[in-house]
Amino acid sequence: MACGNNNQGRLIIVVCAVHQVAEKVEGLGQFVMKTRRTLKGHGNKVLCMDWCKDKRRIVSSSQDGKVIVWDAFTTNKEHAVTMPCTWVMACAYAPSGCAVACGGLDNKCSVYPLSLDKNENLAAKKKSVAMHTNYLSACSFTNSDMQILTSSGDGTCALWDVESGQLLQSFHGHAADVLCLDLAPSETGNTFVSGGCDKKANVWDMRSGQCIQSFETHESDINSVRYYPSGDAFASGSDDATCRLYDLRADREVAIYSKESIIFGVSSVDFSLSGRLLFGGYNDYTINVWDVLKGTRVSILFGHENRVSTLRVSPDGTAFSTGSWDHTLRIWA
Amino acid sequence: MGCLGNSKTEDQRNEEKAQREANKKIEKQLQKDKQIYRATHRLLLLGAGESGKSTIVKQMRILHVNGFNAEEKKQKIHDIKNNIKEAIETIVAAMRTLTPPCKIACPANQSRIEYVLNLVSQKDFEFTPEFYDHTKLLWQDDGVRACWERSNEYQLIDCAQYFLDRIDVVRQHDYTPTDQDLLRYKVNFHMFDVGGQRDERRKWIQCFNDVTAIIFVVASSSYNMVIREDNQTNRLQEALNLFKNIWNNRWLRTISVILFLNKQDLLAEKVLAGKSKIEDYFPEFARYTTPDDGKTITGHLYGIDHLFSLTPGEDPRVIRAKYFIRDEFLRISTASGDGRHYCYPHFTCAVDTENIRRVFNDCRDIIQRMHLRQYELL
Repeated sequence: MACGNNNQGRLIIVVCAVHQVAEKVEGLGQFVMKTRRTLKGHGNKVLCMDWCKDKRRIVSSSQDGKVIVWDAFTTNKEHAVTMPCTWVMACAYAPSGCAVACGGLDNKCSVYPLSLDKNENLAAKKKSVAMHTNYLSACSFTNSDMQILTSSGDGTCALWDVESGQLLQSFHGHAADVLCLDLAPSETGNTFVSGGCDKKANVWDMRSGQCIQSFETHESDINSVRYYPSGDAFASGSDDATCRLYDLRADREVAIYSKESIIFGVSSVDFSLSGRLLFGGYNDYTINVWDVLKGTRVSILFGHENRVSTLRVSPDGTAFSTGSWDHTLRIWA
Repeated sequence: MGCLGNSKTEDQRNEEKAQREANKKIEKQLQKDKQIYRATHRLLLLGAGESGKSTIVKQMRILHVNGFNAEEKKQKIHDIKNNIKEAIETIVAAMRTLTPPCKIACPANQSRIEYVLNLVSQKDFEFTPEFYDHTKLLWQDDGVRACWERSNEYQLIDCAQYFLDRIDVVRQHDYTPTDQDLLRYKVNFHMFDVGGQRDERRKWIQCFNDVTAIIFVVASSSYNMVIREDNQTNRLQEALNLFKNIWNNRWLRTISVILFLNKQDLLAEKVLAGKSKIEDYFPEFARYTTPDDGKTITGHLYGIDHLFSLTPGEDPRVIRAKYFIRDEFLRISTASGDGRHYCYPHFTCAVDTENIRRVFNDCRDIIQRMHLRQYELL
């Protein structure tokens, strides 16, 4: 079977583990990443965050019900909303940058339009979009502001029309809480991947509602899933202290990112812009940076004073942001 | 990004200034919200299906809003007056300590400021008309108001504005607090019923690691029934399992549990009818003897004997049954916990308002103490 990677870092078909194939690949040089900004203001654990497509703004949500929109560069807060149900476990930025979605133990996903008029009462304009029978664990807008994809503790994922609040499609297949989801990059078509407490990562067809692929190699809850930039693979992070890479065309796991010294669960993962690096936020307060091809750890980053709960790379790849149980967010570069 | 002084245009500079101001405004609000959040008691309500949870919630909501009878209301008057005194003392003191300090707007009020500053050191203070006059005029001073507007920079009770606006009402001899007054004066209560969540709780339960307390409701009369889900598991056993799970959950190790052993009326009925014997479902009951005064494995934990005042004339068979069930739960809670959290059992009958009122009052004190303890530790 042919193997290797081309200039764009695309993974080509592999039969054996990625790191064996990548032996000939040049190693990464030393690099230093550190905290460039610390965003303070949340009064309780930060549970989720998301970048705006303008590569500068961030929305974050915390356990005390606060949803805050920040300018990550200046650290200025631009909007703050208090959710009636304080435990906000998920939040997402709309592609247009004009709205944010959030939800949690209220079992709902609500959308707030962001007004340029700072004096306007955001809370009044809230629109309730999704309704699950259990907590909302993750939400994401699709390519437009018009549709939202949600995952829930009730074991299902669902696609909603934002304007009418109508359920467009539901996805059944997980045997336990669904904890995370990620949409495939737009070039690869209408699919998304979800991970759950049943240790499974499922790939779904958004139009038919069918589960087209399923992977069950993790030994515990899958807390985070993220597509590889090309869309041919995805990574997952789990309570079993490992991150794994699954190739969609080979239909199997092709790499495990783990170390004996790492015993705490992974809460969140994301790829660098090229896909060469995988960043993982861990429950032992650290961030481990993995060389995706070689399978080795490139760097370990310290700074947070409690669990890292969420991690996202900025849309232009120049920085990544983390949220933590220590009430802060950090921007790293 | 152009952070080199002169190369910024006027527009850019104005925009940055506006952003900084918006940021400040939001931060101020967040600070205020944080204080409210800290002052709010968050309670997690748990219990197996049909335990009577919803009835308890309804009762608590009614009591919370209308809970005080005439006696209690009179007692609160003194507290409300003290709130006013505390509020004006705090604001006046802050005027000097803030950076930059606040100045009074009207020079004639200077003597009133001195009056208030002297109040703090007075031992036998009485609420004289003089006090109300000074306080009211100070509250109308623009300088004092400016200081109140900056209350997020120091510690001021939430109800300050509400009562200072009502000095004329409170000072009257025949003043009786309205329900709104009592609501303001009271601490906020937020009960969260997780009835909708599934049994796999290890993910969402993490969100409750900082609640003030858990209220756990059990249908004591269900000792001879099975749960709907499998038509096999004994309901009381299910409740015991759930309790054990919650008690030993790693995220809830410092959270105390208020245990409502509910449906006492139905339990008494069943026991006296004699048709369904507890020992048929819980063999240990055959060997169980009623403790005297509740001083068994539990007495030393809180020594609050009045919690278990026996209803006079209660049939000894009923007493034996209810204490047995209580002790089944206490066996679990005393097996672990290391003094980091406690279980406070109450015998309740959710449809009996008086019973719930009494229990509610007991709980309020306990919850208040738990809340204080929690924030002392932080």
